[in-house]
Amino acid sequence: MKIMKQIVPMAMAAVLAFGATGCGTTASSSTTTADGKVEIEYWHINSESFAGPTVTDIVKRFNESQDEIVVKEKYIGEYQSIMQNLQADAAVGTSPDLVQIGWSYKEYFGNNFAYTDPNELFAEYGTEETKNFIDDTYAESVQALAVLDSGEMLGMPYGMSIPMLFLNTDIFAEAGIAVEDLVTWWDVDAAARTIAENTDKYGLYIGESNYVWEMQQLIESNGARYITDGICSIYSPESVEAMELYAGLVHDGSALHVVIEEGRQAYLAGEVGIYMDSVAYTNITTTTTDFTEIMVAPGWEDEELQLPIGGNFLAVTSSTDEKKAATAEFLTWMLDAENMLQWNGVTGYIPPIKSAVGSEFMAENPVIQMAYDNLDSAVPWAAFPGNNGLQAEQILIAMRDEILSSGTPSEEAMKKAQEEINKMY
Amino acid sequence: MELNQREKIKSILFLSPAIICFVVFLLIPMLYTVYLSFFDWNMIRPEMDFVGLDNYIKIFTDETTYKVLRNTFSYIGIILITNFCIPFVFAFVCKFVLHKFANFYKTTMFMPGFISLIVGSVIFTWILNPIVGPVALFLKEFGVKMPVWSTTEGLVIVVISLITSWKSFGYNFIMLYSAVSGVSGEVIEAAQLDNIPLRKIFLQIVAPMTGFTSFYMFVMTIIQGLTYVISPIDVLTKGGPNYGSSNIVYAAYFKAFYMFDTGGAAAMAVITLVIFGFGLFLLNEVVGKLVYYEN
Repeated sequence: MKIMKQIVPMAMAAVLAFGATGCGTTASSSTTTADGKVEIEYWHINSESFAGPTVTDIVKRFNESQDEIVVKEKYIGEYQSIMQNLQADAAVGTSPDLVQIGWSYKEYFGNNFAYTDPNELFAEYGTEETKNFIDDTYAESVQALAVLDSGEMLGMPYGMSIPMLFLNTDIFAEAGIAVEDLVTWWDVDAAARTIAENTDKYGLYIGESNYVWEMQQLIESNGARYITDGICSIYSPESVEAMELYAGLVHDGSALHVVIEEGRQAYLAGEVGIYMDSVAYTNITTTTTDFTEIMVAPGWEDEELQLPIGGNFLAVTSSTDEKKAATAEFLTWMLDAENMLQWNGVTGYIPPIKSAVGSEFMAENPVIQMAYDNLDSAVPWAAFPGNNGLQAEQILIAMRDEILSSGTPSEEAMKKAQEEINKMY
Repeated sequence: MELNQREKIKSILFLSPAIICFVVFLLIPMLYTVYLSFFDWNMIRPEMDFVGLDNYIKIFTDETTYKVLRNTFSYIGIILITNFCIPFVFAFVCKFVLHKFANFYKTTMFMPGFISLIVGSVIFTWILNPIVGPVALFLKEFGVKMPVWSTTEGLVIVVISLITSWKSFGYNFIMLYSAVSGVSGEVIEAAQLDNIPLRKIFLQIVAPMTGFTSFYMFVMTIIQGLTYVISPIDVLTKGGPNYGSSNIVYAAYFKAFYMFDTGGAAAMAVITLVIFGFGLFLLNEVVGKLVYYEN
């Protein structure tokens, strides 16, 4: 008995010790489920309040429509969270099969992750009907968004958005401004000041996400360019003029300078007259408020309107032939008009597929039709090349905050940011 | 087998789970972090480029590093007040001053500790919304405009520290309360009979007699505080405005998981280790020697 009292605790300690050494092993991802179906994983940014249930429905119906493939969809978070998780998985040698990648990560993703060119995917794993799926589904101009300089296609355009202005018509009425008065950013400036003077509301909020997409529209529509010949060219008289317009509104209290979640809440609560954000927020704003009217973000007087494309593309990151074939089949389901438009209707993203043009869906969704009609002014989301691209974007975010929070003159801050970014290249 | 040898084997066996966990989850990652700090790598590129001290030079020649360091000391200062000094005083008051509702205060103060700081941060995004949050609306009733704390340098650190304190105050309070409870009630009674003011009882009797625990809590408040603030910073500001809410721990995390600069993040982590290691050494030399150990 005495010996048992000694042996049992020692045995338990030994088991714990070996158990601790064992807990670092990674379970290998299995290709098939217990009943022989091929299992693939789909990562997305669609939360409960942003088309999550729609994604669940699309996936559920796919799984029920056939008995060879099981798709597991997973909400990961924003595009940044997806990249973080993708990176962590890649570091241990695993990956999902299909991922929504934000356009701003196009360069970084293309340079660092393994993926399958969709043209090759369907050429190898498509059926007779889907061998030319890419050309059949997308216009060339849409395909071009996902093509690298090398000619390789990174993925399949899925979510396409452009910056829009969401207008609180109640505040406009109180301030005595007509929505039709907003033609250029100068008009937006005047309207914001009028709203701030005549009401107790804020005139304008330009979404301050952890990207500089919104700022790109404001600045590049005035003739400036973030990137020229592969280097940062943000410092120019045109960009300073554009930034000073917004900074002036913030500093005199006509515009809000808060983080994106606070700004969105403020608009939805009826405290902001003009709110700039993605067309993807159409559904949230129109279902939550009854005062919203929407227009495409304006340009300036003499320059060409620039509307950077936001949203995401679907990247195929499957590693085995079985999973690639399964992913190809799932993609044909997702990009089928019925399912694609179901997702577009709930999110507000512009449909990227040819079959949406002139459809009943577009007639029933005038805001999306309006955004689609302006795609001639669409330009790629400015993504700095190479592995320093993310750091370059961070420098621009810091520049924006320095101008709006600390009151540093735009000229000084933009010159410094450009020098800092170009030092890295 | 000799008794001594058997005892040695037994003690090693019982210690082995803890030793293995320490080596596998602390020591090896720490040494690997030092190794990584000499490379340019993003965790997934097949080639790791050796860059020597370049990562460290970049950090020390970047002016934002010094801003982040200043923020770190600001966080430490505020968190020590809200998560160490105030809970310590509360613990003393609950034990020796309050004769009613002490248990109620203990329970309510600890309750936020059950809530994830991520969830708490999301809730505070709404509560502290400077335009339409309940606090802003309440202040508006009195004609006070709530400052836009999320984009105001300085204020953003205070608010984030308070959010962090909301979560960890309760745990620190319980730990200090248990230490204060260890002080003999008779000593306190005798002091009160001598009409010694509560302030002096706290500073000259209770604080020294609970030195062991309070020294531990002082150090842990700093370390845990800087770790806990990562969550609200990440949810609320991502280190902005213009690195105004970032600190040295968040900066390392941001470099690793937003910029995917593994080498730079490792270098930042090593610098953090050196700074805090040296700080702990100094603290131990200056304050640690004054700690009273009962036995």
